[in-house]
Amino acid sequence: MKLLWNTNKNTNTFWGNYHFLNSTSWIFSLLSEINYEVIENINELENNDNLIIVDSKLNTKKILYEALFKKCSSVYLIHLGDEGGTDELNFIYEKCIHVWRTFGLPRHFKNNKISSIPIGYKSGSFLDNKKNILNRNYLWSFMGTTHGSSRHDLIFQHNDIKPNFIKYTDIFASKDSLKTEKYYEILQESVFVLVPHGYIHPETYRLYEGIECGCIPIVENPHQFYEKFIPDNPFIKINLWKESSTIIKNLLNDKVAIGEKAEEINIWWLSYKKKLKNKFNRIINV
Amino acid sequence: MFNIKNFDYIYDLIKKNKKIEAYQKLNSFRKQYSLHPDYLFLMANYLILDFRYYQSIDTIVASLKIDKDDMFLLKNDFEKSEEKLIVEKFNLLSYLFNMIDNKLLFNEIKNLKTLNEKNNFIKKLSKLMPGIRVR
Repeated sequence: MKLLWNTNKNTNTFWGNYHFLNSTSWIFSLLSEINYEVIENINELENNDNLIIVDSKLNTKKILYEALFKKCSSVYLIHLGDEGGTDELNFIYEKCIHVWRTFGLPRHFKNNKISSIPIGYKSGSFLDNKKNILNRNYLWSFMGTTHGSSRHDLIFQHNDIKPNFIKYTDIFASKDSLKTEKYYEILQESVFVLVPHGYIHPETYRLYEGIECGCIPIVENPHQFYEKFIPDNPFIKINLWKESSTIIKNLLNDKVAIGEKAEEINIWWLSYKKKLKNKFNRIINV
Repeated sequence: MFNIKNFDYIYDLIKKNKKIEAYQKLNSFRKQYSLHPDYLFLMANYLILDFRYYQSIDTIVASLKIDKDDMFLLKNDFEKSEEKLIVEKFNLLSYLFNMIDNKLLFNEIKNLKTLNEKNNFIKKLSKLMPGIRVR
């Protein structure tokens, strides 16, 4: 089995480079039970090879995939970054043995050939021993852009819950963003991570980054997206941010409940990641 | 109230909570009018049927911004919304700020009197929520 990370090859797009820099830890962790050889370009492929390809912006790559389908006996695709569901997928998806895609779309949830996976977390180092949830410096934090009314309301509804940490940035991954190390340091000091809707899709990276850092996520959950995407998840889910501020204030009177919720999420997350890895293993290592 | 003939009918469907029919009709006009200020007003109302209040706010703010963007209107051969509809848009925005319980924005919008105050408020929202862009 060979693996080609193709998001940033022969192209110089922001997202192609972003995924190469920031999604590798997450994706490689999911593939940790698979034996593969990493290749740098398609010239390293031999006839009838089996290939795992990690890719984005499929619209522009039909010719490449035609060549891959001719050359390889099986192609497994890990499709990143199609937040709006606008990539032309039919030709490529049909010919792959299996597709894993981030930014899951409801139309794919019941398709046995397509597995929707979380967008995961930015590459970076995490503390092995997470700080106790009850000894953290901030009750909640939000770092990112306030591009829509949800994020503005998030700040307004929680402003009186202190201590908190808020860092606005102009645009996603802009120069005024915190460095990854500092960003994770803040999350590791936060009890709750507030997770608004993304720019187009309900998911944002901060959900999984917060969980990795031991925070309790409170997610905006339009049209019950998270129940459909990850059934039985233990996230605290809200439709309006006023609900969240009430939930936090109530939980602050019950430290035991906070500890139990954090532990429930941590145990669930470890188990869920294990299931994801097993599924990769089961499908690829046939 | 609308500049596009069929939009009164769609508005009626939304008011009667006929979600599926309203969605189908909105979908049929999407390609041509997805950034038309009247279409965005209808969309904002439709999103409320789906309890998507924040998206509804973003949509109605975009609609009000486009009403003030003469170049954009000209380029797309759109007309700005009628004054009566613009009043409806502010009423809807006020309703939504109350619904999400954002007292700051609700108190501000209910005290807007003059056209100049309304224009400044939309400019302020555009700064607070800069991701709402008109391309």
